[in-house]
Amino acid sequence: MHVALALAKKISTCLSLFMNDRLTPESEIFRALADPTRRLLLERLSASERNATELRDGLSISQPAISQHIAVLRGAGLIEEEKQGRQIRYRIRPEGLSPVVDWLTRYRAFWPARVDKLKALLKEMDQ
Amino acid sequence: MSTTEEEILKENIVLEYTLDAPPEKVWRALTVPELAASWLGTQEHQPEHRPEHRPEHRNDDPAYELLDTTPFSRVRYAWRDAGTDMPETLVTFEISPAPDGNTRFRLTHSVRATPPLAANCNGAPIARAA
Repeated sequence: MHVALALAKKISTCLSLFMNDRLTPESEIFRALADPTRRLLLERLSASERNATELRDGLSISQPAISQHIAVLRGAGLIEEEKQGRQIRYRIRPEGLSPVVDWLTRYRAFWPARVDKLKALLKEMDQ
Repeated sequence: MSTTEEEILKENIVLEYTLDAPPEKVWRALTVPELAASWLGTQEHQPEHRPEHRPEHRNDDPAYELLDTTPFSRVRYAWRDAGTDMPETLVTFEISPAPDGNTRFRLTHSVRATPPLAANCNGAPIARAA
C-alpha cells in the first residue's frame, strides 16, 4: 500500500511537471517577447481580453500576420484562448510570464553586485 | 492586470549610478576586454575550461559579446546565460560626465531582440518602434 501510494504520488508529480508551464522552453518565451508587435499585442491583452479583430484594431498588420503572432504567443504559453459563441477571445496567461519574473529577479540581484565590482575596479585602476 | 504584470511586460532592468571616476576611465573598464572581464566575471576568465566544448553546466556565469560602441558614451553587449536556453539579451551601458569629475552610469538590460550584427555601425538607430 505504501509503495503504491508513493508510486501514485510520483506519477502525479510527473504529470504535474509535464503540465507545468515551466516546461515551455525559456527561449520560446523570450523569443516571443522579443518582437515589438507581439509585445504590443500582449500589452493590449494586459488591459483586457480581446478577439483577433480587436487585437488588430488600428495596426497596419494583415490578419494572417496577426494570426501568426497569436500562434507564437500561444505556443509560448503567454496567452490562452476561449471560444465564446462564434468568436475566440484571447487573454493573457500571467503564469506564462514566470520565467520572465525569474529572469528579472536574477538580474536585479546580479547587476548591483557587478557594479560593486566595477567600483572596486575603478579604485584599483587609480594605482 | 496588475501593475506588477505591466512591469514584467516591460521586462527591462534599468540601473543608474554615479561613479567616482572620470568617464574616460569608466569607458576603459567597459571596453578593454581584460578590465570588463574582471568586473563582469564572465567565462573569459577561465579559458582553460574551453567553455565551447561543454556549454551546458560549466558554471552560472553569463557570457557576453561586444556589439557596438559609441566612444565615451555607449557600449552594447549581447548577453548570454550559461546553462539555460535563454536567447541573447541586450545589455547597454551609457555613460556621461557628472559634476566633480564623476561619471553618470546607466545600465539597461533588456530582453528585446539584440540588433543584427549587420547594423553594427556607430550611430545606428537606437530606438525601435514599440
